[in-house]
Amino acid sequence: MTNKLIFFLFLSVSLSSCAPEWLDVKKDQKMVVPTTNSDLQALLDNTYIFNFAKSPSLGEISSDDIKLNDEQWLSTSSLWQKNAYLWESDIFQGIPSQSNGWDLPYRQVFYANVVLEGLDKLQPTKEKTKEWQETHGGALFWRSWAFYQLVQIFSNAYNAKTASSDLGIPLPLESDVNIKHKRATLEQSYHQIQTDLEKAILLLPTTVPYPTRPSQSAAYGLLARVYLQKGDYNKSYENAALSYSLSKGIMDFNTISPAGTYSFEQFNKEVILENSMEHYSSGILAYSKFVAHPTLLQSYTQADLRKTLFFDSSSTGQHFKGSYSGTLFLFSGISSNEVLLIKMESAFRMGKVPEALELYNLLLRMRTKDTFYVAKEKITLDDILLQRRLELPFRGLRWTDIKRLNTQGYNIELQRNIFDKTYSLPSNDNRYTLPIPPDVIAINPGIVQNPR
Amino acid sequence: MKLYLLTILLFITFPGFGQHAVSGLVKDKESQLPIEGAVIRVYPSRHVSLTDAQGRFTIESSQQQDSLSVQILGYHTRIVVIAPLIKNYTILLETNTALLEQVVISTGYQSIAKERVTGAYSHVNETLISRSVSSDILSRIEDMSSSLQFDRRFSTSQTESGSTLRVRGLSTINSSTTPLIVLDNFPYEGTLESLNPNDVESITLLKDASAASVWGAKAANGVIVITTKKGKRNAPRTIPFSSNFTFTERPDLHYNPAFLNSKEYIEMEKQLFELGFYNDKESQRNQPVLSPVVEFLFNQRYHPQNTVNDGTLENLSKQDIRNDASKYLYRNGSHQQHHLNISGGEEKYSYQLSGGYDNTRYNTVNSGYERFTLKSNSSYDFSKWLTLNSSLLYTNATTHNSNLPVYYNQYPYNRLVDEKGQAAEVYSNLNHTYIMQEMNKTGVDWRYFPLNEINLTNKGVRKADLRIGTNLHFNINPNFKWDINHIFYELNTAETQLNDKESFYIRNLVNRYMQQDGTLRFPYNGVLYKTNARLRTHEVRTQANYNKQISEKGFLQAMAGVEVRDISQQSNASQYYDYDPLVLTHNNLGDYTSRFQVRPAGTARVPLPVSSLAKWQDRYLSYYTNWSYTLQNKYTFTGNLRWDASNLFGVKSNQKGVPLWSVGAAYTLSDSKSPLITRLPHLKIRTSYGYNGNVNTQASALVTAYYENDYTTGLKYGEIRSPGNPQLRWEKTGIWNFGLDFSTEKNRISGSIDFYHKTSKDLLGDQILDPTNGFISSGFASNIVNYATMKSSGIDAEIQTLNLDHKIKWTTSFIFSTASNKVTNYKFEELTASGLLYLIAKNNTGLIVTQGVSLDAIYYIPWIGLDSKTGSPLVNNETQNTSYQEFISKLNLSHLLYDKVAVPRYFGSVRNDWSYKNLALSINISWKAGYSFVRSSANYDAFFNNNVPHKDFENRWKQPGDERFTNVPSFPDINNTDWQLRDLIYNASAAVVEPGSHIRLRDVRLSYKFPLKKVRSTMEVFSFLNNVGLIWRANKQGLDPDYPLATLPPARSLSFGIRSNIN
Repeated sequence: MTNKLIFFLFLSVSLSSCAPEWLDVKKDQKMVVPTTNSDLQALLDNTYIFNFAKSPSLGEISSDDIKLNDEQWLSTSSLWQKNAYLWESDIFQGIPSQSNGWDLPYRQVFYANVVLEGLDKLQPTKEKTKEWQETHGGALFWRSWAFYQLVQIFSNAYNAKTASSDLGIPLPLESDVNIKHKRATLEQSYHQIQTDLEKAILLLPTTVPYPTRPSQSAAYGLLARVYLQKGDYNKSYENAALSYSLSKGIMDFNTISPAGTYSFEQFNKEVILENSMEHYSSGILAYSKFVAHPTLLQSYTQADLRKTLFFDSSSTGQHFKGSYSGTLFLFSGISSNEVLLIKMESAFRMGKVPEALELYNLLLRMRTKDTFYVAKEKITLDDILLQRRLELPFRGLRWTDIKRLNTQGYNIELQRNIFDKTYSLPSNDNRYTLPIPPDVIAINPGIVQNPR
Repeated sequence: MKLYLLTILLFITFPGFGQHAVSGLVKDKESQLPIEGAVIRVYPSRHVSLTDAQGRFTIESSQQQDSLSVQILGYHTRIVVIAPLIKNYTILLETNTALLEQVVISTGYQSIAKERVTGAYSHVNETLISRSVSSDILSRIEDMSSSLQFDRRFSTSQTESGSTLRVRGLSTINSSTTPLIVLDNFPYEGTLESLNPNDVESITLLKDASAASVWGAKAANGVIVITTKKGKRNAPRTIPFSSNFTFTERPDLHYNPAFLNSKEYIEMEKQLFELGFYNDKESQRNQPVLSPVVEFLFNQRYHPQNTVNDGTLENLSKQDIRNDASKYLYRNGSHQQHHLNISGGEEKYSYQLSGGYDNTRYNTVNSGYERFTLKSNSSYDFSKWLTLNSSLLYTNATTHNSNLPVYYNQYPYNRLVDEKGQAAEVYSNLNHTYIMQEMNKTGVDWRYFPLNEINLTNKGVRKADLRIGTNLHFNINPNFKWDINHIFYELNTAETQLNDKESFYIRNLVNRYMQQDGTLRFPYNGVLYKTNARLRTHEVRTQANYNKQISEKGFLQAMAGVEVRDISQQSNASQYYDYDPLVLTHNNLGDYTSRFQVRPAGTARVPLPVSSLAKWQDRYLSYYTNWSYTLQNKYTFTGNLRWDASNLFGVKSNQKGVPLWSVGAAYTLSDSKSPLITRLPHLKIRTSYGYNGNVNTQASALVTAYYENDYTTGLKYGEIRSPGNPQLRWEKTGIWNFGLDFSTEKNRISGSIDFYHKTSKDLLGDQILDPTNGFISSGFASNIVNYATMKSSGIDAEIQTLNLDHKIKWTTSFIFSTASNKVTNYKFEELTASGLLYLIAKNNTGLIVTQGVSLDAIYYIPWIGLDSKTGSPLVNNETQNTSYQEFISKLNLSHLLYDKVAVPRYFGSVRNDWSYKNLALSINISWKAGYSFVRSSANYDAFFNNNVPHKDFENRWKQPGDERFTNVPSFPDINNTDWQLRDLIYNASAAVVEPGSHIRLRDVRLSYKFPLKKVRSTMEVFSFLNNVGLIWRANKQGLDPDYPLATLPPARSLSFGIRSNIN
């Protein structure tokens, strides 16, 4: 009988002795603490966080790309979009969960920071070095990308004289969710973007399997954008040129049929980085809702292929169908035509007028019906800016351009008319800098609101 | 050391010299069934022992002149003199109806006689379980036990889906609130519908720390212990049989408040049309549907020459879809249930075998439920010291239903059947003119005929449960027993959904993806969807039990054990395109990456056939021990300690474990000095304190990500699900319990009352994060951290009275409970104050947690009234302000009221049982009080944009003066920017909060017992009327407060049945 007892005691002890390993099994097979390079790269490959319908649309809604009639404005479901369209001083009116323009880029920053911290803990072995570098470069790129998007909406246009006192954006550089951040200056914000991008360029590959991943070309392209904002045309020229040289060049629109619902394919030749704007089915940027601004439409000549490839018409007006995303999502990524235009504008402003003219004619040939194409012999800066306007509508770039050009004295004033009431936004008005969502400030009062 | 241990063991194992063991068997004199838990005492030594489940006992007797008393509540005490040479006794006890029913409390780890417990338990016996008729077990204990609450706020249909169960209120904020279900001593992971109520012998609710802490980290929500029927030793064979039929009435569709009659509906559409509301819709490229009325109005506008009044609208306004729906979509339901059980036992073995069959025809057409159950239980003594018990439970249940069209979100003037008796077309999805024009091109019918769909989509779910239990019971000596248990459980769920080639689902996709040149991008054939899920549990437990008369007056009962549990779940889902059910071919080859032109507009990829795999694994390891010491049969002290650990993801091993404990004491005031006489009245005081735990398997200590494949790029991508929480712990609930058990002379009044107070700490709560930090999950930036606390308290009372005990016997059972809770620490940040309005407007379906307020609170804004000029809701009394944007932007918690709760604070039932000769009548009335509910009402925004009508629109403000009679806002000025906010204000205001108190006649049961001559044979026929209806309700809206969101009230049903036991 005692033998039996000893046996039972032994059984109990052996049942419990296996405890630590036995309890270490993963609860959900699909759930992982991201530690390996491939786990971390997969975080950056989350196209639903970084690429598809995830860049802020506040700028586009505020821009003169679009014009709504009373009915279209009325049937917009969200109040903040309606208000942003009319440049109201308080667009959120205290209603929360509408602050995607802020949340979406900062979520990208968080992901990038998790990846950067994860990579820090990995010691790159010889075999892994290339992958480690690519992931590292990708994370730095995406963090800069998000910061860049935020600066365009929530900060003033860059002005070298005031940049070190102008408010920039909070710059979280670690993933700890409990830190309360404050707004950096605009100078610091741009500096962060520039230095991260410069590091990223050294790490990123020249070719990527899909343009949803950033490549070297994308990083040069974004850096070109940054320097164009800052008016550093030597650098914007240099980076745009590098970006363009790594791209697949531009498409000849003569070869593209305007018959389809959307004229361009997703991941087409010109796409350097795939990205599209946040989308709401009954929001202002829903396909059936917004129409192109008549002034913009009138600027296209009959010979311009973009007129039919970018727009179709219905009883309510002309809708944009030229998204490079090939869907109803508005493309907001980096493409070779954009870097070509940056190179062109920078060249002209640097005094390299013949090169600018050459680039101008290259673009023109690809965008004009073959039979009508005649090379220009002389161009002005306004010609280049008009091409930029005609080539890049509905990409979220216009808002930045208006802000930039107004600081240079272009004096662009915007006007809206809804229910017989006229709304206007004079050049360099405070309202070009959009308000930070109130729920952000409510939880972190250290973040200073923009004056409206 | 080893030798020393052996010496102790030897000492325990062999009783002292000069003593010898007497054994025996205690049985019910009438039924011949063994009696468990009877107290055996030897005089004069006063050694005490208990009978086991087979009615057997062994006790030490020191001298030859000893006598033996056998005592148990519910029976007359018997005294037997021990004869010198006889060592084996069979003692028959006679029932004493005047005494309390004998109750043995089963905790899942041990059985304790009720006299010796210090905790709070509720016991529902077989008589009560078999009183009602249903296919499931849970509905049979509703209103049968105190502290048990069914919360049906979010239940939208007649089924129980959406209802949650609470035992003693709430003790957690964000974790599971479901009580632990224990079936035959082991946690049950399957669904309770699989369990045949006829197989259940008793249900015990473990409510306080002393009762439930034996279940440790899973016990905070209470434990429901279900014990099934087993064979008994030395018992004659019995063959109980039962059979019943239930008829459920066709539902009353006119109950649904979210419905607007055709006439009013058309008026509203006309009004909107005049305002140009549909102009945008009509011109949209994606061709949204226009109702037949709006289409007619457009036609009138474009072709004014046809404006002759052809009576179309008048005819439509006379139609009511509820008539067709009631006729073609609903029916009278039925349910039949049959069950046969065989059990018995001899000296060395016992057996039980039962089979059941249930068949339900729901009151929606083409849907039903069928279940077979098989159960067996056997026990065999290999030797004096080794018994093998084995059990098997098998259930096979199938549910089938079809794609039942929903009648209430269609146009009320729709018809399901046309004049010719054929299925009628209904406008849905897309513009009808567009559909007609396009289907001519594609050649595939694009119209929607709801009635045809019923037979074109078939869904079926098949569940097979298998549970095998093995127990080795070592009877080492009369005091010391050892058990080794193993439980294997497997639940296989297979779900199939077949969309026929001709179903709208397929035809719509075919039309949508058909290219201009007629190329099919979506195959015009059936689609089959299959999921398979497997849940498998292994559990091993080894446990030692020790019972001993330690001194002359003290009796010790102790047990200790170790258990390990492994629950693994696997599931897979797959979809088969181009499926032909006749030859079982399918073809998933296709282009899922290119974007194609689709109708009506845009491009899209062909949706990838569903294909997914998942696997989970939960592991638990626990050590536990439980001690109880009874002194002089008067004082009882209990103590319990348990340590649990699990593989909660990402937690370091040392943080995984949590020790939980409880202590309890009881004092019986009435116990007599002489054990031979049981005096009444009886009074016992109990108190206990201790901790129960709760598990949240969603929280994680480290940054975790979830991985999938991206179907655009084919690359693996990760989504961050948790930003990590290094301080993650399990939740703990401390419970004070103070209880009284009592009975007066002859048991005229008996019962128990318990007071409890729970404090829950380390509760997981949302910590709101600055969105700038970038962790945003499902729209909110928050992380879940252990910091919150809450408390809850209440009273449970169960009282039985014997009112008449003559020819007519009349007993009444009163059940009364109170439960309330309050959050004591929760870091609520004001930022979402106006977001609250959105939550509130969704009928308070979102959880709002505020420090100092009940978790069940209803948040609403005060109702001032309607503006006398415009009929818009006022938001400021003084200024008669109706500026909603301003109001909302300034709104914060201090503007809200939250004095009402949505879950009853007081509830109970009164059951009266009468019997006269062989006839018995039982009526159960339940009541709930001290709560409110939020009803649905007119919401113009929801109506205009999502077609959610409401009957309240009929009572809307129409002209000045109406504000005196109605609270329903006027037709909105849709050109005003904030007309949608108006709806928000109204539907979040006091105007839609109604008192919930009510009294319900739950059921009536009438039965007749045939006088049978044969001994131990019984036969009873009965009828049972269930869900009879509300006797009184405080709200004046005619709504059932238990189902505020339901479109249908619970259906009444009538059953007839027979129960027999012929031997």
